[in-house]
Amino acid sequence: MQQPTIYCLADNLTTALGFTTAENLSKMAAEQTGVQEYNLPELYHQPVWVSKIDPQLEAQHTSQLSGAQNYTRLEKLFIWSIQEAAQQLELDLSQKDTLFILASTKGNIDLLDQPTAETAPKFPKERSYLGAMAAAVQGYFKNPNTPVVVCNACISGVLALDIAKRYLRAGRYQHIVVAGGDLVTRFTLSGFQAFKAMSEAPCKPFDANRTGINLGEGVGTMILGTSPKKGDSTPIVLKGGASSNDANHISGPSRTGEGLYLAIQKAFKDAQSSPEEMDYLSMHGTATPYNDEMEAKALASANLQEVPLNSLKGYLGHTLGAAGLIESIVATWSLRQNQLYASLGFEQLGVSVPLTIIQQTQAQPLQSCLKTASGFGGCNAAVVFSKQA
Amino acid sequence: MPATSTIQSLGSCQISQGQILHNQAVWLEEKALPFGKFIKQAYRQLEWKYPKFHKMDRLCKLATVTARVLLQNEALEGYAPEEIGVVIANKTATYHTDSKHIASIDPSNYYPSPAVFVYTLPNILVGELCIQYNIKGEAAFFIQEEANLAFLEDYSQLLLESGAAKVCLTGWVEYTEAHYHSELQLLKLS
Repeated sequence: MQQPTIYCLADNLTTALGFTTAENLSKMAAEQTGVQEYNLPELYHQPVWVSKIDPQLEAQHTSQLSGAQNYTRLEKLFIWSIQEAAQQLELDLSQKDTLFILASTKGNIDLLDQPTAETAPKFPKERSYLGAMAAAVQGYFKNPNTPVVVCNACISGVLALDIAKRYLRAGRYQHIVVAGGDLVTRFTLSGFQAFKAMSEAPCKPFDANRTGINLGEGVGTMILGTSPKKGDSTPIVLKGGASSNDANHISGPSRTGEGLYLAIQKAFKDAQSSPEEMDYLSMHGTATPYNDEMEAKALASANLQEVPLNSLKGYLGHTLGAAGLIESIVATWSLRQNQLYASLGFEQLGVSVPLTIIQQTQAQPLQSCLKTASGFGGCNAAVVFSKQA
Repeated sequence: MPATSTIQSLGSCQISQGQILHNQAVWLEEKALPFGKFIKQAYRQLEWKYPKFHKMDRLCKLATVTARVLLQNEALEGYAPEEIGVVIANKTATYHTDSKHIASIDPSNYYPSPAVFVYTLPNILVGELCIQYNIKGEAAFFIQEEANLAFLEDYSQLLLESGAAKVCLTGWVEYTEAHYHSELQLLKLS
């Protein structure tokens, strides 16, 4: 049975590195990072390395949104990002044949935290429910469909793309706007600190001296559809994907990488693709000792250790629910530009498998790539992107 | 697009207001008990030794008991781990445990704990069930402003029809201070 082809039509990245995909990519090409050391006592009790969106630029971009005062910080970022992507297609988001799928781990959690004088509560606590957040975004665009909201730890972004794939293949919608977003908050900083998972320096994925994550914030939006964009000389398609569970531990990654390997195998099967076809791997690479080693083992099982790979967490930190979207967007642009971005922070291999880590940003003809993610709860997800044959 | 198949339910369990129904028959009824005591009694009635139960937060305990009542008679036997899907939703994610974490990061009394923070993600309940039943297949946790079981069944049907899963544990698990409600079904293609 012929399934519709799923095209990646437009996207937006809103992060510490900029408010459009182009801004982000040009900074990344220059090996600039959004991760900096901040001294923000209202967020954390000591200086901390995180990736935060510039507040003045954020205000410039979001204060212009209609009725901006009625939306929370994250909602405004979602709205800005979705609007910027949709404008590239002149897509009317109020149509019934367009669905929103939003991914976030903690959404408007900043509303529940101890308010400071500037952030006096003007939203009820129920606005912290992700469904209410999504409804606010839906309402801004007057979209008639209840948004699908995915809350599945750090795989939420990749999973949201895989879920969109299912609806598009079933012919349910013409367009699906998939957007993932999360903020750097006192809530998450304190939590990851309790896990001793945060690095006290810029993170070093897959490196021998890696000591943990840098949290990051941002929104990534990708608009998918079943017809190619007019005039697109290099259409990129979402060929397939899958998710899996380790069935091992609720917070620690599996020691064997079996669960991620299973997701990768199933993704290849779903994409009618194979390891041999991969030119690039965009890994989760959080820079914790256990996660990166787990991924290395999974890649060895999948016979992917010779495919050039990076983690993008060195540029933007770990953006949680946004990570899968943000990093997938960069992966699709790597394909379009035939450009491999350096795995920022990497110096010396620190995993038990001889992976092929991209050490210098370089031009390379690229046809297909694999994007993976793993998260708390033992979950894993993988998607395959390809230039249309 | 016309449906090419239908789904059937192999069993269900519902828990709310001190009552547990298994396939619509009353399995336990203790309407006067507060949640903590109620769920402990249910756990004991299961005659199941699972020490990790006591470390779970309330949302995960609710999910665990609901699933155990539903699956106790080896309902998943015959399915390979990667053939079992999980599709669960709620409205408040982990608001109850989020509040505990927030209380633990009061600047005047700062003591965040990984044992609490880990439960501030709703898909952890999926992770707990996957460990209990060796489930390795496709799983997703959705948030809905209003419970929409038809959506969850439809998504499960997409998983089943595509072959991504052969059986699906589907439903709703919600815990708040004011009320708790869960319903899980085991679905397969007819």
